[in-house]
Amino acid sequence: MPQIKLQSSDGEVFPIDVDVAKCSVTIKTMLEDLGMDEEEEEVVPLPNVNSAILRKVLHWATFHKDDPPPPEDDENKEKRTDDISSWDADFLKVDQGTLFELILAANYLDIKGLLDVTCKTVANMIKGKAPEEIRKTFNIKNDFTASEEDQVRKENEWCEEK
Amino acid sequence: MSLTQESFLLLLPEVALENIFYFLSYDEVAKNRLVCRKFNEIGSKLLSRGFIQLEKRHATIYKRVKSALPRRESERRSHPLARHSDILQAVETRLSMLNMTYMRYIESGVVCFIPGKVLDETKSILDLVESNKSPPRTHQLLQELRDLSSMAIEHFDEHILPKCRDQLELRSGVMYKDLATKQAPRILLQSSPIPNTLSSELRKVKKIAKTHKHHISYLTQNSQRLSLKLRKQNAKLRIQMAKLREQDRKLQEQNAKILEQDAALTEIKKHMEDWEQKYKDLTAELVRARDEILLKTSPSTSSLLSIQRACENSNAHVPFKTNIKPRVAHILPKGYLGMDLERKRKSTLCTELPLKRNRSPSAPTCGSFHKINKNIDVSVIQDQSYFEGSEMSKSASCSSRSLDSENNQETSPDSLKAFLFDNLLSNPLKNRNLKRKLTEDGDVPPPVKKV
Repeated sequence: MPQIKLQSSDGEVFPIDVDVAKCSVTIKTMLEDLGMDEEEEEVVPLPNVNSAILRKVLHWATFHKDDPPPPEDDENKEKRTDDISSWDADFLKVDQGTLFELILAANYLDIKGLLDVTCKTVANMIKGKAPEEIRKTFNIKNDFTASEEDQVRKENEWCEEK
Repeated sequence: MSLTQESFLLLLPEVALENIFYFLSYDEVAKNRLVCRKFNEIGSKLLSRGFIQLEKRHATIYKRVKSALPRRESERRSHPLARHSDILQAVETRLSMLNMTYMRYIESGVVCFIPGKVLDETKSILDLVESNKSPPRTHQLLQELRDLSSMAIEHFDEHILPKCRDQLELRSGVMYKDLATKQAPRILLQSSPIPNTLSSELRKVKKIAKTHKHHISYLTQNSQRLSLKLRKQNAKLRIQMAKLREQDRKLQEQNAKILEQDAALTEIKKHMEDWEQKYKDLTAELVRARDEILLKTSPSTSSLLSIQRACENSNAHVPFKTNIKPRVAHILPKGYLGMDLERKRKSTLCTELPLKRNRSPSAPTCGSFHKINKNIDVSVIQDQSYFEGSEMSKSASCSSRSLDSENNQETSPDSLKAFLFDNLLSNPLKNRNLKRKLTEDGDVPPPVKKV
């Protein structure tokens, strides 16, 4: 099984199977474009991903390496968030910082499966919550001016039951 | 949590945030705009984008359904995709209404597509139409969409629009000012009120254009309807014209027939007249011939002639005249069959008949008949009294009828008698029976008495 070495932002090298690495479209494209020789032991640097996150990503990718390729992005497909597998759910039982870093890493490495599942997790955290609750959950500061907030509130009044 | 005291979530790039929001319903996205500016920014973008995407998706589906439907409307109704088409048409109406309400302000960046719930509802309808073979009835399905879109539009018109207008004006003013400052900073001071009037003018023009668009679409529909009617009327007219032509043709035929019959009738009339004329001529001829024969056979004619001459030469004829009994001429002995006798005479050519006036003082021969003048009139009648007694006086009476009326008039005293004769002569046919009657009635004794 051919291997490839990925180097995290903090210098740690992760030797993995090419098949696992190819879960990332970014790495896959790079390998295809550069035509890297399998015998060469070159290291692929990933400056945007730290070792902790890269480990997690590779963990996820190893588990999902035999998954069928994700379907083409379809705007019309149902936006379900309740279809997260239990392994993924367990995998993502992490703090928000790690979760968001995973999102960033998945986005950077272009791993659609991981991106979807992390975003779904965040979406589930948002769902069914009032704005104030969301602010609390994600430690968001209300940066609206009074008039701006009033304007948005007014705009959303249209469907409020009287 | 974070070192920067800032949410990790907000540190995510926009793409990642959009990806997260992508898994939320539009309604939630709309509601979460209140969380913070970033949420508002991304949510607004997603909502507006969502509306445009839905419009596109609807158009695609509608096009596909339409292309699958038959062209004929009657066939369309029974087609399995008929309900799909109905639903899509209703959705199109709603979408276009929403478009008219929001799009202008979305494009100018004043607002986003506010009603996220409407997008969710529309999306679910489109999903249903796309996936379901037999969607529920249009009314039930679209109830929610109708309600929501109406609510949204109403709310926008009442509460959001005024502010949007103000913002638009402000923005266009700013833009104009920017432009003016860049090009000619001096002009700005002098012409600061212009932007407002300009933008209001522009708004007016846009409004007018919009109403005109509506009018035009309405008129087009109307004209299409009318043209359809016109076509129907034209077809009817053509049928009527064809009928009229047929009727005309028939009328002409009838006319021709009538003319033909008229011609035939006139011909028949002509023939009738001819025949009548011929018949008259024949009758006249017959009468004349009879009279001639009578004259020929009568021996008294010569005596009549002589008497006439005597009358002409002397005045002594006066006493004769006084003796004239006009009616005597008609009085004939009983058993006289004038016509039979006439016929007999004609057939025997006079010669075999016995002389009627044997007792005439100067009986001329048969050959002297040629000398009988037409002028014999009064004298003949006068002479009749002379024969009254005799059996043969009937022939004399007949012969006297043959005398010309012209000459009768010459002798004034006897004009009355002549007139009577004339009458008899002029209508021989009509009076034949009468004559016979007269002659038969005439064999009364008075003349005999006279004799």
